[in-house]
Amino acid sequence: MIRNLTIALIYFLPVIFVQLFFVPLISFRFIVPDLIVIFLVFYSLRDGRIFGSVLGFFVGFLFDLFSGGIIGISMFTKTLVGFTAGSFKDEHNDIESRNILFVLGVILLASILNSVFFTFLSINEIINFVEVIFNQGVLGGVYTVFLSIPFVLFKVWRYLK
Amino acid sequence: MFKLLIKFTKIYRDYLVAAILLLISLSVIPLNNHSSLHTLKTYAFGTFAFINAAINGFTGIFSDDEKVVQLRKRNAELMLENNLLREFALENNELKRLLNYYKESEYPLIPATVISKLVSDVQGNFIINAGSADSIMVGMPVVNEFGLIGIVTETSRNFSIVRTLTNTDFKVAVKDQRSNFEGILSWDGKQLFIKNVPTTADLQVGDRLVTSEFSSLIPPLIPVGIVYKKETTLYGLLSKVYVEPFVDLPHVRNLLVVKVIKSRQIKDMELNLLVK
Repeated sequence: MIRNLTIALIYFLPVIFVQLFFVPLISFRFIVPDLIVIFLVFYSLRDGRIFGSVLGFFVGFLFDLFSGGIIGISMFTKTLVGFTAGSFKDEHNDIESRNILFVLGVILLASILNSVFFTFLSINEIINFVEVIFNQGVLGGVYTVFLSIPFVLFKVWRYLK
Repeated sequence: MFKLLIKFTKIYRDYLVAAILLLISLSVIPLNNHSSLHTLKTYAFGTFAFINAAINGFTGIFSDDEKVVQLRKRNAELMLENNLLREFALENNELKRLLNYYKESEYPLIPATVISKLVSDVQGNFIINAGSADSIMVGMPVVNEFGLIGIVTETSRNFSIVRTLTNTDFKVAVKDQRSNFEGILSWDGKQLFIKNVPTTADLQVGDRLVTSEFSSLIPPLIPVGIVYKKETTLYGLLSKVYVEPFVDLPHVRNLLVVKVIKSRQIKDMELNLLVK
């Protein structure tokens, strides 16, 4: 598992880089898709809850470090994403045999969870919480799903070690 | 008992691993101001930002030339000067005579470019391509030709992190330039606001807000925004005032760090608004 985890983390370095420096260029107002969630869902659906949680934990840590944000927030949200997406792994049906809509649905759920908990942990006080959750969670989730369509169609998980 | 524990661990292994990792994550959050974590973060974002700066330098054929940067710098200097003049215009002649001792502030400015934005409704942070090698220090305000953008919170040798107005942890003391009413400006995830303003306070829609003399970090009279809405809350006793920033934060690319930092003594004595 440690070897697989190390390889996965190496794969994630360019993903984090793109997320930090290029994905904001396609943000609309403050709504931004999350490339890390997409790849984390692929790994978790393929390798399960434990691998997803541990990978999410370390990927979140790297993202917090490189982004200059508060260390711990992305660690928490990405661990949660890994665990949640890993819960949809089916021993009898691997990710390859799953319906594309099912994978997109998991990405949507994971992205909403990621945004909601990121917002929860980031704020001191907030008034229009529902609106923030809608903007960041739902709209951000839909945007992430939209971005993930080519990755899902080309079954990118085949190329992930 | 031991067997039962092992059995329990085997059954709920997934949940236990996730719970432990989530707990570790949560327990790390309050440790962010710890010096070792701080150093690690500074080193990490500095390295990562360096790679991006190198790529930008290679591919940046459309980037602004030196002349444009100089013009932006001059624009920002004129903005600060203009705001000082606006303030002077509000004074009467007698006060002007009395204020002969008043030295016009000349803020030295350091030009920088945003190389990364942590885009989020609640955590607005920029990484800029200027750091301690350019004399940038934690606590320096960041502006552009329109007004205040934020404040430097971390620096590495060649890069810095700027906490912007659109960060829920950023709070700044502001005053109404017309009535001199003081308040604390915050970000609620969608709008800038000043809360708990007495309904009797002289703060009207259309008023310009600038940084206040009471700010422990930011020099006074830097334009911040304009009041665009006033809502009465709590049985009509208090109001909440919404502010539109002068700076179009989502589209900021070039900015200037004001090379001013208040004395450490004042910083230590007063409420340090950088601390969460």
